[in-house]
Amino acid sequence: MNPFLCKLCSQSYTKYTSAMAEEKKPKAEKKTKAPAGDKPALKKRPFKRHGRLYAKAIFTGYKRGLRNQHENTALLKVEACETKPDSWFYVGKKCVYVYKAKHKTCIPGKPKSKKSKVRAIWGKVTRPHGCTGAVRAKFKRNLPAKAMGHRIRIMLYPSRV
Amino acid sequence: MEFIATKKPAKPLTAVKPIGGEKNGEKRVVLLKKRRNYYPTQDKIRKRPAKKCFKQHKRSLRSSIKPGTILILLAGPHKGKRVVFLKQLHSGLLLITGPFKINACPLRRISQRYVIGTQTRIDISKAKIPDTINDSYFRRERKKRAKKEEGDIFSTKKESYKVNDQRKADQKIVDKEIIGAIKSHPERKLLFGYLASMFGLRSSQYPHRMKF
Repeated sequence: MNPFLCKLCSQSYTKYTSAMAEEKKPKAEKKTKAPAGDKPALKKRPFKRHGRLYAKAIFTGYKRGLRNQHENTALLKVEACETKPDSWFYVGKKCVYVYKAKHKTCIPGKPKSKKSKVRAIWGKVTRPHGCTGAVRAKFKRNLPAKAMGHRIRIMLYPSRV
Repeated sequence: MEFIATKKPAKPLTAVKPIGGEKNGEKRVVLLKKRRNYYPTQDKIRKRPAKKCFKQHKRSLRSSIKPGTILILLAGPHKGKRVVFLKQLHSGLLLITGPFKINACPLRRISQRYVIGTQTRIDISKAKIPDTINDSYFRRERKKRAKKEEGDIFSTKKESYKVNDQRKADQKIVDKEIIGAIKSHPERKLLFGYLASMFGLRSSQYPHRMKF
């Protein structure tokens, strides 16, 4: 009935990924996650998530002219996003630069006793940049320059799908 | 419709007051409630409320989200889970359930913005969701503080949330209906597995290319 569910039963996951690699620019794919070898017994709780809930991107630099740069806006290169229409998907989405530091600090939303070395700078994608899929983002505090070339995560929310 | 006025003891509208002076007639009939000093020629301009208050806002729902749709949660403690959408509440939030047996997600409210609507749909038109499950059902309970608590400011500890029995009972009722609806679906085996598994992006999966 549902075409993608049929795909689930007919293809195993490995076959599916190889099919993915063949298609150059897959426009429409039905994505499901096969139960990944778990038997769907009702008692089992899938606590470990096997995948990301964010898109990968690299912080390539600040918004700039040739000789001046403006650090309040960051340029991000989103993985596998090569055209401007594609990059419109990410506009409005929250993004975060995650990094570690030496000292432990409090985690927002958790009791004060739980501290962690992981820190984050949140921001959001504001608009596309250029015509080859890059994107501009503004963060709560400007990104540190050492983040250039490093991973920032573009979350899938606020979702418009 | 006939309105039969009940006769109340009539309040006096006028009073008779004596006045002095000769040949004045000795008394005047005076209105007890005086008439207005000024009658404006135009109606007063009343300002309309510039903004609507929250409960009057228009609630919209994305076309991809319909009752019975399976949603992917993107944030919160249940992120990555696939859950069943039941209905949109009056506040605009979506009411969802795991069902609890399948993926440990209880009856819950979430915002549309933190959700991806997939194309998978279950027919829950026959499932009856109790009307008592609405926004006030999920409202957080604020403990009432006694007015004068001088030394006790820090003594009230934050109590962790404990599920009360009413929620457990309601969960069972709703889940029974939903699981029944899933069971009548021709692809129920896949659906149970689908709901039990979690969503996650893998290598070479890109959300801007995906059709959910």
